[in-house]
Amino acid sequence: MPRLPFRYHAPGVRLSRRDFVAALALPVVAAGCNRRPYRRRDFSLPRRSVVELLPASSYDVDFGDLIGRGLRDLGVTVAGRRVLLKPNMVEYEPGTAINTNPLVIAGAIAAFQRAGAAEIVVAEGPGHRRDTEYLLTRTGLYDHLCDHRVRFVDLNEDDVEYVPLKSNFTGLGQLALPVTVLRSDFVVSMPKLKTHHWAGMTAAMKNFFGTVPGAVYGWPKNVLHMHGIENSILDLNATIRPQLAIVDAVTAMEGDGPIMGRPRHAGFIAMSQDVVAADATCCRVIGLDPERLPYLAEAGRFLGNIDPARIEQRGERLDRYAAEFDVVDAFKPYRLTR
Amino acid sequence: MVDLALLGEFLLRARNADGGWGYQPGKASRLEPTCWTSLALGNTLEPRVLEQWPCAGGLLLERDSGTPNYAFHAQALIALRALNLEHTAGNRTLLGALQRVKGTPLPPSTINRQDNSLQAWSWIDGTFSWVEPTAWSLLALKQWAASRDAVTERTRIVVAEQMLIDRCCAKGGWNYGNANMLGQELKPFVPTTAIALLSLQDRESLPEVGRSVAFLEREATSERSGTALALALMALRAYGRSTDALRQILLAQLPTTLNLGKVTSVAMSLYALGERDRHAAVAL
Repeated sequence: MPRLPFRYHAPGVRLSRRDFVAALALPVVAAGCNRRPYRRRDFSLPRRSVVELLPASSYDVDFGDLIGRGLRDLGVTVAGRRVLLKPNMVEYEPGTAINTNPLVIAGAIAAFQRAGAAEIVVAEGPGHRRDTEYLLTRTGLYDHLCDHRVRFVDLNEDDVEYVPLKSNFTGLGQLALPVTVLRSDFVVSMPKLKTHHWAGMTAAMKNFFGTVPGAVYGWPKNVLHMHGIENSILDLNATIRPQLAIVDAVTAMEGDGPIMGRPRHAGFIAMSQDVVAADATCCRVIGLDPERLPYLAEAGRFLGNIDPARIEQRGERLDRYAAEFDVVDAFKPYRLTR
Repeated sequence: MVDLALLGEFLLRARNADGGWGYQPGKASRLEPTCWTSLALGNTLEPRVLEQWPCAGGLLLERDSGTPNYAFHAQALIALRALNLEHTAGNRTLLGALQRVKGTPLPPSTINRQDNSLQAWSWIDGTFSWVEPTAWSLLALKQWAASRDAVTERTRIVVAEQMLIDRCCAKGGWNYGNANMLGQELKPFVPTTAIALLSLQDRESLPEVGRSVAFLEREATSERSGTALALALMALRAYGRSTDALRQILLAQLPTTLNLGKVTSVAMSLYALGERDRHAAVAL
């Protein structure tokens, strides 16, 4: 599969207004560049990445047990470590599939508690709804947090530190990031699998938009859009370097995601210590080609594996869940040919 | 239900040694929670931290060594006026700086139905105009326009009103940003609607404002949080609507708000419920 050129904006170069609108309307696939905006020695692709696809036909399964099984099979050790669970919590709308299901989050809390984590924190900084108290109570996550005696940190309002970006696709050079994220030993991305009208798909990598503090950058964290959504996904993941992805794809979303799309049953949980490989696998499941989604194609060059030859699928076979999710017109050319 | 005295005690305990408040107890002082806590507790506390809040080029910083955030700068102007305080840089300087900043314009949109030429207020430098920073800035400007010595630009008020009317959702109320996207109408939110209505309380005859007040009366209790309920209470009261039921629901919600340690929400709630100055800080 030929690699498509990826456009990034050199440090100090700002998007023009025309560029920005184009970036909103279409995935960024334009002029290439010769110099990569990161130091090669800071990154190395795993020789092989394991992605677990764990069956969950509904939200009635025991997610503590299921995720615990995934942790053991992946060889994840968290004993004595401070674990940060970063779900995707955007908006509450009954009957939709916008947010990571609280039962999956509660299951992950139970699994990490059993695995001996010293501390577990659930943390999110929504870019859409500012009001996390509303989101926590309406989604039911608040009750689970109380039951498990786990602290919630609103990342929009956390203390921050300016951190040099490990890659600089955005040209921002540095970002203020929440100290709760920076001081965690083990960061877990827990997204809902959804199609996304600007990025094609949102899963483990795009989920880190929720770590950018709204109190510093405003809502909807416009600075990330101004500097390119794909660029921002790459810089955030290169800098935060999450240790694990647990993707809620029990009921996913298709169509005009990440908010206005329709629920679609997918029936699994994906887990991997390589968030890029987790996203690439989810991408293939929903019928999109990860080699052609700009952020994933570029991530596959330095952050993680997207090449199926370097991804070991465990648990259920990918083709058990393979489907063709509806996407907005801009992403129809990115479909896999099965 | 909680006793209002508990809210005050929570806020007093949450105060930092530098005199300000963070978003949660133990967190560094930030402008927004400091503004709301100052309004909730009154200016009896010394030192009056807002008067010395870090400032650069006439714009208050979101936090010490941070960058300006225009929504919070506007909230500070509202608080300074309400508490009769004078910032060391001069309140007129702060007002002038707020009037000089504008959201980045965009070419006509192909993805949503809105007028992108309207430059109101963004959250931070170099980004678009959004409802919340525009509404807080508009409220601050209108309040200061009534002051004897303040110089306010009428055109900024006019454009900000146009922008808010332009972004009003089809059935009333405001989303945090767009009213529609890719052919779909977006839903209004209670907190942003309340803030927008506070800034337009002198424009009640506009049909968009009427629809939005009706939305807020209908939906105010649908978003259960200290912030949403407190802002709705202040906005509905500004329009002379009954708030008795809302007060009871807010009181019932506050144990959750306190448990989450949300300083700004607790302060907004105490201000909304406390009747210390009958909401003069957000009145026009």
